[in-house]
Amino acid sequence: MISPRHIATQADLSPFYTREYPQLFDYELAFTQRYRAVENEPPAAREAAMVAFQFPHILVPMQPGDLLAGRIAYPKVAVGPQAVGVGYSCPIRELTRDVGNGKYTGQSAEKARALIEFWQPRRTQTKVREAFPAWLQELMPSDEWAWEAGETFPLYRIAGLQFSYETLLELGIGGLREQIAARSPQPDGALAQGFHAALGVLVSSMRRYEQDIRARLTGQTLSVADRNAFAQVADDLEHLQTKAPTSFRQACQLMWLYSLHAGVWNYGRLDEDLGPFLAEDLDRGVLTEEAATVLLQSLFKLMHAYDNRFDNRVMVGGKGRQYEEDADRFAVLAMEAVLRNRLNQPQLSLRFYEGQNPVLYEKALEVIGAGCTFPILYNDERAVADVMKAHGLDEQTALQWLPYGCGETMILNQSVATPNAIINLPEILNRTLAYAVKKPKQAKTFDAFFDLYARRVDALMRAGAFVQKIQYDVVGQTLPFLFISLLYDDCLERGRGLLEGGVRYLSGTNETYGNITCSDALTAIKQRVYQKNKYTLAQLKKALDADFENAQALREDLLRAPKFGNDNEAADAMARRVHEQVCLSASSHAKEARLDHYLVVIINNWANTLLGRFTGATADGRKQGESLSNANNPSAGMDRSGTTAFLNSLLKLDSDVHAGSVQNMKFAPSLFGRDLPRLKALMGAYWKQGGSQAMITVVSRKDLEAAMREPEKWGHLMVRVGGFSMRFVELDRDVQLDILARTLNE
Amino acid sequence: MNPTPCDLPECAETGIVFDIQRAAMRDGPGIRTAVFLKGCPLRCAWCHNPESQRFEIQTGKGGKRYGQVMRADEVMQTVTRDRAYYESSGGGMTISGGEPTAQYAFCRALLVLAKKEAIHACLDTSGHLEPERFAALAPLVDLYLFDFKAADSDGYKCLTGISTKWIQTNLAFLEKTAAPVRLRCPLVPGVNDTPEYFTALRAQAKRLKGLQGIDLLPYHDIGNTKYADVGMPLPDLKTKTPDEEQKEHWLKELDGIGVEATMG
Repeated sequence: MISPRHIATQADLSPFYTREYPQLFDYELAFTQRYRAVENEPPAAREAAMVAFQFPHILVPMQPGDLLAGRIAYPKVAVGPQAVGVGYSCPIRELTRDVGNGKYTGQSAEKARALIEFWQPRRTQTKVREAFPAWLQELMPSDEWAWEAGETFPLYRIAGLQFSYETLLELGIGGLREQIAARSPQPDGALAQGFHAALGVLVSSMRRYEQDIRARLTGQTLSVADRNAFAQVADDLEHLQTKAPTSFRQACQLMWLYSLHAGVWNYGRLDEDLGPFLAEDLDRGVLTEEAATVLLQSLFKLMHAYDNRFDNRVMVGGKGRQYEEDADRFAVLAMEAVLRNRLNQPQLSLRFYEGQNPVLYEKALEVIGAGCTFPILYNDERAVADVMKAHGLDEQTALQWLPYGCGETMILNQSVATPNAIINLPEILNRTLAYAVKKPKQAKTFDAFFDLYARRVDALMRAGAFVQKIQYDVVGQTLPFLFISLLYDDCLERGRGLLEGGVRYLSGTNETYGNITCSDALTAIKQRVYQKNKYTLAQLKKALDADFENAQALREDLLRAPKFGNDNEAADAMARRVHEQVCLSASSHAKEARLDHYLVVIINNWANTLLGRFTGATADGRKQGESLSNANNPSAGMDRSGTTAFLNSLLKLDSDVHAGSVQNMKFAPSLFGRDLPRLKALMGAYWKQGGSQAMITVVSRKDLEAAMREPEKWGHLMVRVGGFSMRFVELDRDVQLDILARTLNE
Repeated sequence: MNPTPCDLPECAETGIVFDIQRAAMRDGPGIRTAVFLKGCPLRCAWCHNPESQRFEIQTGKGGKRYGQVMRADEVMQTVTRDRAYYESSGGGMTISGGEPTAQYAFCRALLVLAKKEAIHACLDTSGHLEPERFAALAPLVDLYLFDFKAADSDGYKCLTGISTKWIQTNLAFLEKTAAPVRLRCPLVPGVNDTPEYFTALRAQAKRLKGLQGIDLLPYHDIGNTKYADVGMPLPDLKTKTPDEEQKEHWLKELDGIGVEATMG
């Protein structure tokens, strides 16, 4: 147990823990030394040894107000799927920079250099990169996607996985141990031993928390409320070390501590897993709805402290639930907890379908209307069929679909669908334009020009598919992710770690950015250059290269060209063409890369803004450095024909050819007040016509502007950025401006 | 303008439209598409759409064009795109202006086409139209949004520049036929929100058997910059944008009126 310098308090806007030590890097060097000792052990044994070393050092004691135990402070060097980096990770770039800029001096700098020297060749990221064949190195030369211009970049992480806690909560740790013995093909093999060792680490973490709490209970520093709560947690932890949970609170505690050890950031179908415990406690009268809500508030605050941005997906509702009635009770309280907490995490999401208890949807609109940006809405009437078609799965399997952090679809317990590449479509288009200017004979018609663009996209998408498989293979050879494999279907029976043949479906995803910036630019090129001959490709390129300097009239003409989001046939048809091309290109490369699925995700975090900083001016009239369009959405502020036109445009992009897209909608508060019936009708028609998803920010322009002027007064103002929500005042100014520019539907 | 003849009786094929607003939430029930026809015989002192007054297409000083010639079927192509939303919300099309009936034949064409498409149609009108024509439109209108701008004919003359002769006759027609109607009441503090106005409004409301509601539309000055753009002097209106207290007070005036009263 440690006491990090930076402990988040309620007043903290960004409680993202980073570990700071009095003796900087001593822990990391100790971790390194331990790694050196076990480096040549089999992967499962090595991982077991390293998690055993890691967790005692990174768990943070319970804080005042906590009703459950489980906080983590990340060190610089770690093992896990993605929290610090992929596999065995060390932030070489950051350390090198900080040694270079004098942040670390003297002994600290020496220690940092030692870490860099040791981990540079050994960290998993390096091994993944080294495994790229020459042709991939050429197509993806850089990893610096947030700092450099480029067409496509790899991402290093294992994300896109979620498991069910049902077995864990039903059997407890003791029962799981019996399962390992009974179901492993080699009960004494390295993997099975690794599983046992991992559970041992979890038990010892519980013991540490318990001991820490009991020690603190003997002192005088805790408030009466905390004494009572902490004592309860200590008893629960004592129970859970040997027995399965028997109460909602114990189930929450076990689920949470297991998640922290697994290093997962998203939590499957918690309403299914925790609902039965909740219902039983409520029905027995040992828990009130109020107390359960307060407990969930605490759990959600811990999630918020764990990762405050892109992940922490908690899904409620939807088809395919075994304990639907119990799960619905959980769902309503979870929404209430989110409403009370008013934090940007967790990303509570609601799947809904015709015939579902209508209370859930009603409650969802109440919470969204209060400005929480949650829950994110998913229409199962559409989504299940989309997943079936895009992934080629049967209905029974597809019913267990879930969106990952930013919205990437995967199958609970059965698939891994990490986004391991990003692709910048407007950058590709600009490079296509440069090529076409050099080789005008190859771009005599618009279709020929589009074909040049499409072929480049396809080549890069193919690269993405191979990068995906290489990353899975290298990581699979490096470590089995013991905690995750233990709960994932098939891994135990197959006796294989998640990525060494354990997982049933090896899927992958590629994050596309600037789709609509690109399609609007193509619309302008088609109409202005090819149809109306108003200017040549060379003149256009010259204007773009100069960021429209001395070409204001040309820019205005480009801005006047039809734009997606206005139910305009020309602009929307082009958006469809771009959408289908990139989506189908991705899926066409799954097989040759030996993946079960490879699909595009149009989900967006704020990479549309980050990539935009390094993307030159584009033919839709966008200036250099401005944000690219967000996800499937119109370029900010370009949808000017009313909400229905905007929704109609969105509906034209097929949702069954990719692994998720997000629809950001910004509505005025009046629509959730006096106009609520109209809002319901609006969304009802959208769902009925095939709308699959909506993320709704309720905010007024006046409030956003006030928050930019006086951020100190607007800490509570929440907005949906892309695939995640943020407090508006925490965003960089260019991201704030991007959000402000998006059309407000009134 | 010279309307182009069309196949439909008494209809024009084209007209001048100065705006089409989709997803309009304040122009009749449900979610609607509001089609704004250019040209108005009234000159309301508080007009916030000065660009809607003249019948011809104008270009503002800033280069913006106000109005475009559109075919009736072209307008309907846009209107029908939102059918799903009309069906889910009980919405439809609203023809507004200007004074939409001033482009009588075009307004009629749009109403005929809406009827053909089974799209609910509202007519947002001052009622200033020859009574024969007003009556002739009646079978095509599902709901009237009828302005109530002043307490009496003197008030109308002074504030809008017209006689209330036709308006009175047309209101009487709506009374007699019990047509569905909402009264739309632009309220300008210190200008028309007199005790007499509310007395007259209550009396009018009582006489309209088909009255569905009263929409109070508080004065705002958002349109003021457009005056300069279209080269018109800003009206010298001694008023200010009403505050919440004022709005509450107006709503109180309608207590017990027996129909829904909204504040726009």
